[in-house]
Amino acid sequence: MLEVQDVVARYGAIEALRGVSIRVERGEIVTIIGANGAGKSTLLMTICGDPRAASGRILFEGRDITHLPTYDIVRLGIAQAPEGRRIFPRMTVLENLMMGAVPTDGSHFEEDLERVFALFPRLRERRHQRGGTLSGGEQQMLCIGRALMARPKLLLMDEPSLGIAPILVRQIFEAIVAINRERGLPILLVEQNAYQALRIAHRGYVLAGGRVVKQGTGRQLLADPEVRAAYLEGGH
Amino acid sequence: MAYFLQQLINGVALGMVYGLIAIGYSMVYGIIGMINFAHGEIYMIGAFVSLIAFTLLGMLGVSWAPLALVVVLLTAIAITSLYGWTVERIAYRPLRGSFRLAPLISAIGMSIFLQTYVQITQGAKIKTLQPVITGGFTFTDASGFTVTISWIQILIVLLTLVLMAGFTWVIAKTPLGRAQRACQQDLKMAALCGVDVDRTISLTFVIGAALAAVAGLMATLYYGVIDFFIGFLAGVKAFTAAVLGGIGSIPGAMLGGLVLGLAEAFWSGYFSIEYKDVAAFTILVIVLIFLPTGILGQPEIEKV
Ligand SMILES: Nc1ncnc2c1ncn2[C@@H]1O[C@H](COP(=O)(O)OP(=O)(O)OP(=O)(O)O)[C@@H](O)[C@H]1O
Ligand SMILES: [Mg+2]
Repeated sequence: MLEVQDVVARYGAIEALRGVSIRVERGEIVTIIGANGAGKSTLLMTICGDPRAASGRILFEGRDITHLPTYDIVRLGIAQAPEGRRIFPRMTVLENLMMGAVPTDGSHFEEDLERVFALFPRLRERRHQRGGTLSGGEQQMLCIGRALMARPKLLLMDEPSLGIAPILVRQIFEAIVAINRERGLPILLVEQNAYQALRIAHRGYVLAGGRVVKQGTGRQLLADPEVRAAYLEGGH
Repeated sequence: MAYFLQQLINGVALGMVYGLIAIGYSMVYGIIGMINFAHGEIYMIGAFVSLIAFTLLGMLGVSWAPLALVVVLLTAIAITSLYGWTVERIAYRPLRGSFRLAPLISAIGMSIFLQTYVQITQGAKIKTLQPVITGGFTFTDASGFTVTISWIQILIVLLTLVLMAGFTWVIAKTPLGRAQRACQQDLKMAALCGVDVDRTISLTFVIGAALAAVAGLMATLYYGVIDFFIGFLAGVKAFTAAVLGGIGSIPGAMLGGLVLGLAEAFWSGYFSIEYKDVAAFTILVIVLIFLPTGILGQPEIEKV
């Protein structure tokens, strides 16, 4: 469904991705773990065309999207809940969700809204509140909800558990699993919380210095001594 | 009292013109964080298109003022918007993502270019317009002072109010308005939501230019004389209005325009008309020192 082939991405002189290849199949949760600065966020953003891949190819449903503008990539069905959540601070929760629905034709808006509210009832209570005044956890729910409003075929999530109270982290991970199961939606999940991520993931990749250094099923990576030493010790 | 009232009326009409231009500065700043120094010239082009259109209609024998007004209004909006769009396309878009001062320098260049272009094609002399709308209401108070509200002033106020109402609705309620606010708050995220950011920025320039065209038309009607240089002063004043109201804020731009128009009218009425432009610059300096985010401006509250 998604295939990233040998992609290189740069910010000026900094080479953040040095030939990364990954793939996501239908219905999968695939996780990417790695240290700070490994290039995880860059990988998700490069899939969306910003920064653009300097070389390599990105295929989505067999189609080459490497050179498409971001809005076209999004409209083809790739939604992202980005790093830092990026809620529109001076828009209400409802307006933020409307922004999520931009790639759709709008005919399923009410229905999609109900589904998001069913997943995160807190958002319904807060729907007229400004995004900037939400708590971190609520913003994360809104961030995921906004991405779902696009009716995506593939969901990219960047550190949904970052800066969130442990009790909410569990809720967010449960929501991720639920989204994946109920909708059959494939998810590419970037996480610092490697233990939780590998537990729910079908497969995973370890990124270091802009390269994939290890890959396997979630279970294999959880059991891998090197992964344990580098990313899991005391990690949960 | 009557004298005061007269200044008030003049000030409101003037303020609306400044406010309409100021919105263009504010919207563009809000969305791409640059001061579009060529925006005053866009207003000047709106004034020239209006004057030329009136003259052509006069030659064609269209003498019924309401018809002429509507035709000129639409023509001015259409042609001026095209200029606004083109300026963004050729002078700013290629520089997006370049260093911060690049578009600013390009804007100053564009401003000089447009001035020179109009000076060469239209001549440097002052152009006059035969009054299209004359008369108004006159009131005389007990002491014999008269207060005049001209039809043109009424037109300015009404047209501005209608435009503002429509414009506010577009920004608050339509997908275009939402996309615009989204771009203003977070360009990258707007793109990740599927917004065509370049198109939204283009439309922002088009809307700003359309409002400036209306301002140009109204100033042409109001003063009856224009030249290729009017964009400079009007631009600086409208920019002052935008800063005063809080740059980036649309109601702020309108409010800033009104405050500036009133200040200028009262200054002219009570102190000296020669130094009326000084009033605008004094306000700009005072605001920059004491109220840098303006009346309705929001301090930068970017989340980490
Ligand atoms: N906008 C940018 N401009 C310049 N360099 C950048 C930019 N964004 C990221 N980088 C650099 O690219 C490299 C990869 O960054 P990236 O954000 O992808 O890492 P990450 O794996 O997501 O890290 P983290 O876990 O801290 O979020 C880093 O060296 C970073 O400094
Ligand atoms: Mg990151």
